Formats: sequence, structure tokens, C-alpha cells
Amino acid sequence: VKIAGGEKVDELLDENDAISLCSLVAGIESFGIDTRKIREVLGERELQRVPMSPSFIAGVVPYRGEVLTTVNLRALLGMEEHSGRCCVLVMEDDEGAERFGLVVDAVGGVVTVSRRTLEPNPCTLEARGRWLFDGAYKMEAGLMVQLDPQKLRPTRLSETRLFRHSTNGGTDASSDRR
Amino acid sequence: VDDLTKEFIAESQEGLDRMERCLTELETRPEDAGLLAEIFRAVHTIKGTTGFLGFDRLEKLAHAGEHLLGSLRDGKLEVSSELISGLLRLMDGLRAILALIEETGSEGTRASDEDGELIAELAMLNGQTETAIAVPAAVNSEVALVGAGHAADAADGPAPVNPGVAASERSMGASDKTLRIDVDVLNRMMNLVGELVLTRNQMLQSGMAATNFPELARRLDSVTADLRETVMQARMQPVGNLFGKFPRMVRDLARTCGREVRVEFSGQETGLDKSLLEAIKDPLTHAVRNAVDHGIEAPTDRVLAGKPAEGCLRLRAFHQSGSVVIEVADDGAGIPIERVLEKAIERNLVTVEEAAGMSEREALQLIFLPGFSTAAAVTTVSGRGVGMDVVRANVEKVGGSVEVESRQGEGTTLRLRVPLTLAIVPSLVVRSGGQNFALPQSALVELVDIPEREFSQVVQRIGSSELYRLRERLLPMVWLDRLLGMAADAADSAKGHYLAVLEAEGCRYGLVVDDLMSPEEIVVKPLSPVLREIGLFSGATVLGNGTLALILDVGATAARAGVKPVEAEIETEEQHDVAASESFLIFEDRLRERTALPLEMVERIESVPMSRIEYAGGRPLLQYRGELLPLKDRGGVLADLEAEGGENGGEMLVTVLIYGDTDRRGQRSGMVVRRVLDVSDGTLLGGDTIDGMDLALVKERVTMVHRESGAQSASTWQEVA
Repeated sequence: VKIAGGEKVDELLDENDAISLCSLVAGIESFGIDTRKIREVLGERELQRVPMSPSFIAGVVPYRGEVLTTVNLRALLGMEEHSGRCCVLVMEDDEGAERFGLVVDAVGGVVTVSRRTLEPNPCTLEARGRWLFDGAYKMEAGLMVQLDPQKLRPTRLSETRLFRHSTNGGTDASSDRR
Repeated sequence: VDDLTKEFIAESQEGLDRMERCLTELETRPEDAGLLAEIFRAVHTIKGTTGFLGFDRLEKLAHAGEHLLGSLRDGKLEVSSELISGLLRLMDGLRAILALIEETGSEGTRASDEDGELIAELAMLNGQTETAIAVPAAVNSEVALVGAGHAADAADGPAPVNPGVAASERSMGASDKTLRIDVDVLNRMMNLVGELVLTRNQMLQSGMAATNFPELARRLDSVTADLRETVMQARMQPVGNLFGKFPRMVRDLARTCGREVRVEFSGQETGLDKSLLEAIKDPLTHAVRNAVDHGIEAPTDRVLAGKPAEGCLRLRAFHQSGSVVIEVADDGAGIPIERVLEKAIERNLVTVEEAAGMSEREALQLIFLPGFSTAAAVTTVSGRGVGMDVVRANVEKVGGSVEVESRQGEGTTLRLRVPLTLAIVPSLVVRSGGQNFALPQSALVELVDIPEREFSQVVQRIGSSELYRLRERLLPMVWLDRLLGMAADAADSAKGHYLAVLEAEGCRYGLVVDDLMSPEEIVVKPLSPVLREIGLFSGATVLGNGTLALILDVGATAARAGVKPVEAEIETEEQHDVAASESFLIFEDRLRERTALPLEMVERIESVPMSRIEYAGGRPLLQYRGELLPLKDRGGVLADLEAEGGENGGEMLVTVLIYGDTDRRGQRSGMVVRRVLDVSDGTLLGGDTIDGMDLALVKERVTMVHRESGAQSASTWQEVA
């Protein structure tokens, strides 16, 4: 299929090279996820908490007749829970894998960057970070860390045992309140 | 496996299912040409299709079978028991190869020599049955292929080793994943979806403020309800699909156990949700096995007992008050109660005293206790009880129940009661720790309101565990919010608490919640694996107000809280309770006196105009439904009312209790009362009588009870007449 002239090949390369990322904010850090891997941005939703669930589970939300399990990005990053607004994104389910939601503080715009500018994770990154992050892009405002939704799937998170340090609520709470 | 092969497998399996049904019928009605044609068609179709799909091994076997069936159809052969067995083995062989194809994509050659044996057997049946040579025992060895538990399953009849496992392996087949739907139903569904889309469009266009919005919402509501019903209907499968495999199973079992059994069906067309049908498959199989193995006696014993040598097993399905009942009834020996009790005492399930006080019905319930039925029990107690606890657990898991009824010497009936559908569950929404939870109504026994100020009085403690005294029985209390580690909602708990008395898997406990919300019919949604791992929630649901609620797994919650199953003593206790107290209708006839009638005596409470009360010989009478009822007016209510009525001038109404003697129906009387107060339980105080009336304590207050029968007053009336 290489009948086209040189400039066409360049364009094709560019298209392959460009990647649009949806930018998200958790705390003061900003992250990016490939827009093709995001199914829908739900915006602010009321989350139903699930007692005894792992702490990285933010809760469940109704989504298109199903019950969607959501992962809390703040909890994954070890940040404090905050009471302010939050935003739910629904991740695309590749090949019948479970569908899940990601809870972040806010969703920014879509940015297009060149794949070639991706910097690998620093070798000093601790284990959790290595699991979560997928390199970073240099932006004007700072670094945008790329996340891989496949690695954020609740089952995989629970399999890694990296994030199983506590649960939402637990047997230790409120012994006697009378 | 490509689509064409998949389709072929599903189709062939359906054909073989039909063949299975027909074969067992053929044995009883050998002259039915239609049955034979059906069987022939099934085998012929397989043979024809395998030809161009290139499954040689399958084709060869099908060809041998077709040849035999051809002879049978042409009348060259007679239907015999051996012939049917041979054909059944042919069917098993075909099934095994199909299963292999489905699993691996090819028919395999590893076990092909066994096919040769089967083909030889079929050929021999074809050529030699006329000379009446019995099939040699050697040929009887079943076709046992790797990955196909079918043939083996049929052979191990007398020793039911974990039939659930074999059945669940088999249920992986293609025909279980696909569903045949009536095109009409599908069309109706499509129409409804179309209507749904139209309604949505209208709603979007008109917006919330539009005047016709309520009407649109109503239409949306009705379309949704219709659609739901249609989808449910599509999921419904006739119970007959499940029954279909039993004739064969019973036949094989009966042969190995040396029984003669006839199977009768009714209500095959009764519809049941597909998933439920799957769920009750194993329990039902178990029940049928039990009936043949232990229920129906050997032919000689039957004849001695004056029954026909051939036992009868009846499978019945029917609707009853919103659920489907499936009955497995045999006319065997019944369950020997004394043996059951012996066994239960031996296993420390009940004490000797408890056993002595048990009614027959209660004793029968013992067979459902875990621990009652073990392998040893099967051989020592010749009654039922092979894993009946498992049967009950399986049926209860889908929200059903199991009952057993048995008459010595006349037979046993096992009744499985299952809800029509799994997907929609009636439940009660409760609130705890600021969150909503749904409790399935099927597990809910009763609700108790505990106001905050009474809390410390009614809750008793042993160590750190709290107990609630409910009608003299101590009930372990489980705090939902504490169990789930949630912070208590101060605003909710200040109002007091509710105790939901729950019962599941033999455990009974009181779940303390902050508030009761509405009862709702909820649609169960599955949870993701991570949340399922918690083990306390069986699903989630979207409530009417759009929020989510988690569905509590009542049994798992009990286990987590450490509630142990209480054994059947609960029921005996209840029996005592009922015997000790009685329900009374409490009313006032004389001023400031409380009088009561046992509730069972009261038939009706009537309001009668004064003018309808007539007098004869100074005694009041009432014409009531063509009968003359003598009226009793102990408190002079009629005279009082008459005096009042004279002043007011208007028509007065009199309250009359129509009551009869429970022993002698038809002898009714009336009682004139001032007003009816209440219905309540109370206890009779023995001995004391005033004016020929007993005294009772009802709600802690002295109440006089009319004990004398209606017959007595009737006789006094006759004297006057």
C-alpha cells in the first residue's frame, strides 16, 4: 500500500504517532488516559459505598442497567479521602473484561501528544507507582503521567496485593456506642 | 469450533433428547410407529449432517444405529428390553462423541475401538434377536469416553456418589447456553422496544414542563411493565424439558436396584425461568433417585403388602400462589418415622425426650438436618435422607422451600416450591449506618420495633453478646452497622431501632437496623468479582429513587456474625406456644367489663339495625341468612340502646357477633355487644368461674370468656319454644 508519495507516508506516521489523552486530576497531580480506552465520562455521581470492600474501591454506581464498580484513584495513590466533588469515568471493556469506573477529582480537556515524547518511569519509582504509571509526557505545566486502564481493573488490583492494606470500614470500628 | 458445527451440535443434542424420551416410551408402547419415526429421524439427521461435516466416527456409529432402527421400522425386529438398552447405549455413544467435538473441535480417535464394540453389539441385535440370544454380559460394558460422564452416570445408579458434580459438568453443553424463543414473543418484544423508543423521543421533545408529561410517564411505565413481562415469558421454559431425562434415569435405576417403576408426568407445560430450571435440576434428580432407590420397594415386598408389583413415580408441576410447585411422589413404603428418630438420637441431633414429644410431621423434618444423612445412614436406615440437607440448601438458595409428606406403607411426597423467577425478588429495604440494604422477604420472619427508651429493658446480655427476648426465646442480635464496620448514624439511632428477625440455612437471628424503608420488588444485579469476594452481599439493586442498595446475603451474614444453626427444636417450641395460649376476640358487653370469645368460635361481626331484631317470648331473635339466631344480651345492651334510640328518633345499629360452636357446626348464635375492642392472645386461668364464665388474662387484664357452647344456648331456646 506504499503507492503514496513521501509526504503521505509522513502524515500516516504522524497519525500513528499522535495520541489523544484525556487529562484527569487527583489531588495536585495530573494524569492522562488514552481517550480510546474511555467509554464515557459520567461526571459527578453519588457513589454507594460498599462496606468491607478493599480501600481502593470507591463504591458502586448504577450505569446502563448495571452495577458498576468504581476504583478510587486517590486511594490508589495513597492520598487522603476528600469530601469535595468527584468525577466518574467509565472504562472501555476490551474483550469482555469487566467494565469498571474510575473516580477522580476532575476531568480536564483532551490533549494530543506525540508518542515519541513519552518518558519511561524513573527507575527509583516504588512498586505501587511502577504498577500504576505507564511513563509520563512532558507538558508545559509539568509532567502528565500516563495510566493504563487495564492495570486499574479491580480484579487485577486485588490480585497484585499491592493495595490490600486496608478495607472500607472493618471489624475494628465502633466497638460499643451505647 | 465453527458456527456450523456449533449449530449441528445443538441440533443433534435436541434430537437426542427427543430420542431419549421416545425410547423409554417405546418400551411401553412398542406398536407406536410415530415414536419410532421420531427416533429414526434423530439418528438419520445426525448421520446425514456428519457426512458433509466430515466426522467419520460419528457417521459410522450413527449409520449402525440407523440400520438397526431401519430393521425395527420395517417390522423385522421386535421391541425388547435388550434392544432398548442397546439403543440407549447408542445414544450415549453419540452424545459422548458430540461432547468431545464440542470440547476439542474434533471427534478424536483415542477411544475408537470402543465404538467398534458398540457397533458390533448393534449389528448383533439387528441380526440375532429373532433367535432370542441374550446379550452377553461382556458387551454390556458401557461406552465410556474421556470427558463424557454420561454413560458412567447412568451405571452408578445405586450408589449416588455426588450426582451434582456429574450433572454440572454436563450442563456446560451448547444447548444450555442457547435458548429457543417463539418468534411471536420475539416480535412482541421488538414492538415493545419500538414503543419504548417512541415514548422516549416524545419525552425528550416535550421536556419535564410539558403538560402531557404525566401521561408520558404513565405510558413509559406500562411499556416497561409489558416489556419486562415479555422478557420473563421468553425466559420461561416448560418444566417438561427437565422431566424429559427422568424416564431414562428411572429405567436404568430401576434395573440396577431391581425395582419395577412406572413414571407418570403431569404439568410438563408449566413454565419456569431457565436459570431456576437449572438450579432445581440437581435437587430434583436427587429426589427421583431417592424415590426409586429407597422409596419404592422391591416387587416381591410390594406384592406382599398388597400393592401392584410395579411402583409408580409421579412427577407433577403446577402453579400455586405465585410459585411453582414440583412434586415427586412415590407409592412406596414411606419413611419409617421410628427409624428416623432412632437415627437422629444416635447422631445426637435430638435428645430422647425431644424425640418422644415429636409429632410425625416434626420427625420428618429431621431428615433435612445436616448430619442426619451420611453415607452410613443410607445403608442402615432404609428410608430417605441421602443428602436431603443438600437438596434443601440448593432449593433455598434460589428462594424456594422443600416439604416432605409421608404415609407409612402408602408412599412419600417431596414438594419443591420455587419462585417463578429469580431476577426479581420481593424484599424489604432497611437502613443502617446511613446506607440502604435490601433483605429478601423470603428470609424475613418478622419485624420488631424497639423504641430507644425500652432498649435497655428488652435487650439482655451474656458477656459481650446481646440477646433479644422474643416470646420467651432468646434471639442473638447482630448489629448490621457494627458487623460491616460502618459508623453509626447518630440521627437514625436516636429514634430507636428495628429488629428484623431473619432465618436462613437453619439460623435464626435478629438483625438490628436503624430504620425500615419500603418493601420493594427489586431487580437483582450481579456484583463484580472483587465485591463478590467480600461474601456478604449477593448482589445490588437500583431502588425506586435511583440510588443503589446492596442485597444482604442473610445466610452469609449469620455465618460472619457467628450465628450457629439452631436445630428443629424451634418448631417444637412454637407448637407449645400455640397450645398454651389462645386468640380471643375482646369486646365490651356490660359496662366496664372486658369479655372475650375464643376467636375460632367467632364467624362474623355484623352491624344490624335495631328494627331487624325481633322478640319471641321475651327473647331477642335475629333472622340471619335464613336462620333464626337466638341473641344473647348479657349486658342489656338492647334495652339501653332502645332508650337512647327513643330520644334520638333515628335508626340505631347494634353490633352482633355471630358465633358458633367449633364442635358442632351449624348451631350458631348471636351476641349483642357494646363495642368490639381487640383481638389478642391470652391464657386461660384454670378453675375460677364467675357466672359460668371462665377468667382469662388477656394483655395483662382480667377478661371473662364465654366458654359455653352455642349448643347449650340453643337448647335453652328450644325449651322456651
